Amino acid sequence: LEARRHRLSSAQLAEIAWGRPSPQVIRELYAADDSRQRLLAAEALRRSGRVEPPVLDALSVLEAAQRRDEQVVTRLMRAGWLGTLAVSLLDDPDSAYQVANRLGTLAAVAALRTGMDAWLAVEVADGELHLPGTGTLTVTGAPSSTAVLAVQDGHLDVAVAGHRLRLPTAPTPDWSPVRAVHVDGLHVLIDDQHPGRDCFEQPLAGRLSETAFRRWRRVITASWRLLCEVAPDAARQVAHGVRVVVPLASTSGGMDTSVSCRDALGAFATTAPASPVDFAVTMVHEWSHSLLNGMLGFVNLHEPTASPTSHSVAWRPDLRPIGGVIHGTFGFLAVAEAWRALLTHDGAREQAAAELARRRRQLGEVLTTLPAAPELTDQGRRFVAVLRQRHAALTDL
Amino acid sequence: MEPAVAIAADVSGRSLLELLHEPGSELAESMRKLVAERDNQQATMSSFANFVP
Repeated sequence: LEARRHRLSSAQLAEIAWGRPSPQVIRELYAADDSRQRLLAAEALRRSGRVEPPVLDALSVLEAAQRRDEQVVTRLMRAGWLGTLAVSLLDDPDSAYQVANRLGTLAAVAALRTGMDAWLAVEVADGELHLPGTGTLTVTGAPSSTAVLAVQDGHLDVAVAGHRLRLPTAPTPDWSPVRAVHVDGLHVLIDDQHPGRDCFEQPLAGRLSETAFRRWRRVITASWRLLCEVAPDAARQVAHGVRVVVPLASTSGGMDTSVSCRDALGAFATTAPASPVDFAVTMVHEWSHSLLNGMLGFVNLHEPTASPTSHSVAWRPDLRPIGGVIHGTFGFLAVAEAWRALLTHDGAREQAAAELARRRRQLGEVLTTLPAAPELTDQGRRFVAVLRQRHAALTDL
Repeated sequence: MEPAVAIAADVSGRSLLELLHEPGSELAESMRKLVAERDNQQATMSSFANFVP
C-alpha cells in the first residue's frame, strides 16, 4: 500500500521563504509535523525493545480516544511534548520507563477529554505527577510511588500515596493547574511544568509564582497588542503558529535569551520578557525558527559537509554550520522586518531604527557570501535568493 | 522553489499503536529517513538576541 504524503506547492514554499505563510500553509506544516512526531515515537518505541504492558495499555487508550476525537488527541500529544519524548527515547533507550509514565498520563487526559472511561497506573517520580495540558500534583512524603488514574463519568480521579484528587478542580496547595495567556486571538500555554519541555539546552525556570505569572501575562498581552497594531501579518502568523512559551532561568549576565527546538514546532523558551517591544520581536523571531523547522521537514536546503562549522556570521563570534547560518539569516530577517514595522510606534522609534540598522548591516554581510556556499542544494540556492530579495527590501520607511 | 513532499509519510488518523506494529513498508522507510534527517540536523537553534552588540 503506497503511503500518503504531505505536500507543499511552489507557491506555498515561496510564502514561507518570503516569511508570509498563510494559515493554510501553517496548518500543512503542523500536519506534517504531527506525522513526523508519531512516526519518530513509534520508531523510538520499537528500537527501545521495551514495549511492555504499561506502554501498550496507554497506547490502547490513546487509540480509542483518537477514534473518538482525532483533533483533541493530536493537540494533546503536542501539549505532552510527544516530539521530545520520541527523540529522548531514540537518544537513550533506557529512558523507556519514563516513556511509559508520559504515555500513561497522556492517555488518561485523552480519555478525560474525549469522554471515555479508562484506568491506568503510572509511577510518580521526584514527588510530582504531571498531567499534560492539565496540571501537576505534588506528592509529599512519597517521592516514588504508583499513581492510579481512573477516568469515569467526566472525572479523572488520581490516587497516590494517600493523596486523592478529582479533576477538574480548582488550584489547591498540592495541585497546580497549567496556565495560559488568552488575549484577542492569541492563545499560548506558559509551560513551567512539563518535564518534556527540557529540550532547549538552556536552564529552565522553576514554577512561576502567581506574581511572576501575572507579570508574564501583562507583558505578553501588551506585546501582542503592539504586534497586532504595527505588524498585523506577523501577528496573524504568531496567532496560528505559536502555542507554547517555556520560561527560562535568568542568565548570569542578565542577557535576554530565547531559543527554539527542532522537535517542538510552535514552542519556544525565553527568559522573562523584558518589555512589550522586545517580547513582540522575540515572538516573531522564534516563530520564524519554527516556520523554517517546519519547512525543513519537506525541503533539504543543504548537503552535509565534512567541515560542519565553517561559516562566520556577523551576529555570533563563533563559526557556524551552514544550517545555523540559514536559520540565523531567516530568523534575523524576520527580526529586522519587525523592527522596521516598529519604526511607526512612538515608544520604540529610536530603538527600532538602531536595531534595524544593525540587523540590516549584519544580514548584508552574511548574504554577500551565503549564496556561494557550496553546501547549498538547488532548493537552498532558490531559498537564499529570496532571502536576498527580502534583505534588499529592508529600506527605511 | 520546486514543490516538495514531506519526509514524513502522512499518518493522520493512524494511532501510535498501529504505527508501532506497522510491518516493513513505506512507513518504515519514512521512519528511518526521519531518524537520519534528525541525526543530520542540529536539534536546537540558539537565538541570543544580544550576543553581538
